[in-house]
Amino acid sequence: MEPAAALAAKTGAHMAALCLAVAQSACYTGPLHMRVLDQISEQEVIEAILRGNVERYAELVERHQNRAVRLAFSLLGNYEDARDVSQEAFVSAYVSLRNFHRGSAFSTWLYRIVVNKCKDFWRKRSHQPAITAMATEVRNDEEGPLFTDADDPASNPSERALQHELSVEMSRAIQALPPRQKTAFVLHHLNGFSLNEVSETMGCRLGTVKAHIFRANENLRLKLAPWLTREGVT
Amino acid sequence: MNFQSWLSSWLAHHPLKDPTGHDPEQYTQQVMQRVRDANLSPKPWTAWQEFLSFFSIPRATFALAGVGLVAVILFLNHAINDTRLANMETTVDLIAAMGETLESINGEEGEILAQDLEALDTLVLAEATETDEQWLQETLRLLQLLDEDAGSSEAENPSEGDLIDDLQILDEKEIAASS
Repeated sequence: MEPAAALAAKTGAHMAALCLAVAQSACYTGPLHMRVLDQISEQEVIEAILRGNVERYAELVERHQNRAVRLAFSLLGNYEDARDVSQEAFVSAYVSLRNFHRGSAFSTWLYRIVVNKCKDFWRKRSHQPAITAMATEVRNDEEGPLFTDADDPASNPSERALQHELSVEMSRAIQALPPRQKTAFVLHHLNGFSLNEVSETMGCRLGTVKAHIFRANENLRLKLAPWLTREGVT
Repeated sequence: MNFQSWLSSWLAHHPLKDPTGHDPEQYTQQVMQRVRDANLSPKPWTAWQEFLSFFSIPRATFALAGVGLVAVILFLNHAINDTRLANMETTVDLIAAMGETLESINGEEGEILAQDLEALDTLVLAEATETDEQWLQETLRLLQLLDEDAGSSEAENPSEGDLIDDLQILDEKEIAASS
């Protein structure tokens, strides 16, 4: 905390970033001083880009691409689409960089853009269902489920096959959720966003996020009912 | 086991798959290429964005500005009332000095003055402190006494006819002197 405070005090322009990071510390994981330093250096990079140093945008892309791609992948179900959509989100973020509120987290803003780009993608896909459904199905079959199979040496091959099947069913059930339920569920359960972060990323109230996640859980419980009986889940 | 805890445990054992074939360096290059190819630069701010950004000032600033505005309005309102009060008092004093009463002023002017005086009374009563009220009671009591005296000494006063006669005599004297 000490070095972070000293650095922030030296750079008056970054006081807003420090205050915001402290205020948001309750809803973010990870050491606070790391987050504050990250945010301050990120602000410097953004200011350099806005002054015309375009190449420094690569630093932001490097820093956030893994999470952005994973987020898009968990929402869309296949890597090709996830890569395209997340790249589009990075380009859009660059174009609108002047609208980015200094002092807030670039990551939250970027993830919001990724989520919106995924929504646009779903919308486009819903306009041409026949072609895209086939293509997506082929790609999803090639790529398999969203989840890695548990590597349990004690389990026998038939048990592992059943677990793989459950994993496929779970992925399908998640992909079939209504868009807002899916977004809230995926952000919270699969990407480890706190409820506050989900609410910020989706641009809705905390209560709404909780309701979406609750309904998503209920939908999954109904869709996975045969599996749950076998697993002894009530 | 209930569904919620089963789901948490299942997700902990089956983490999200890492996208296969993801090459971070290539990915960054592709993004940067798209940025350069399109010859994009961050959009300059437009006038409406400037306008909207004004509202991103902390709400406390707006609240303080609002309170300040209300205070100024109240102060001005009070000052205007004071001026109106002073004007009405001056008018009443002037009328009194001219020896006229409100009833003798006819037409619209009289009505306006009467209304103003009524408003003045309301204002005076509304703003009256305890001392003012005592003073008012005292004055009313004195006025009442004066009215009574005036009534009792009516017989000693010269009648209207006598006054007209006196005035005529004065006029005649003046005319004689001027000729």
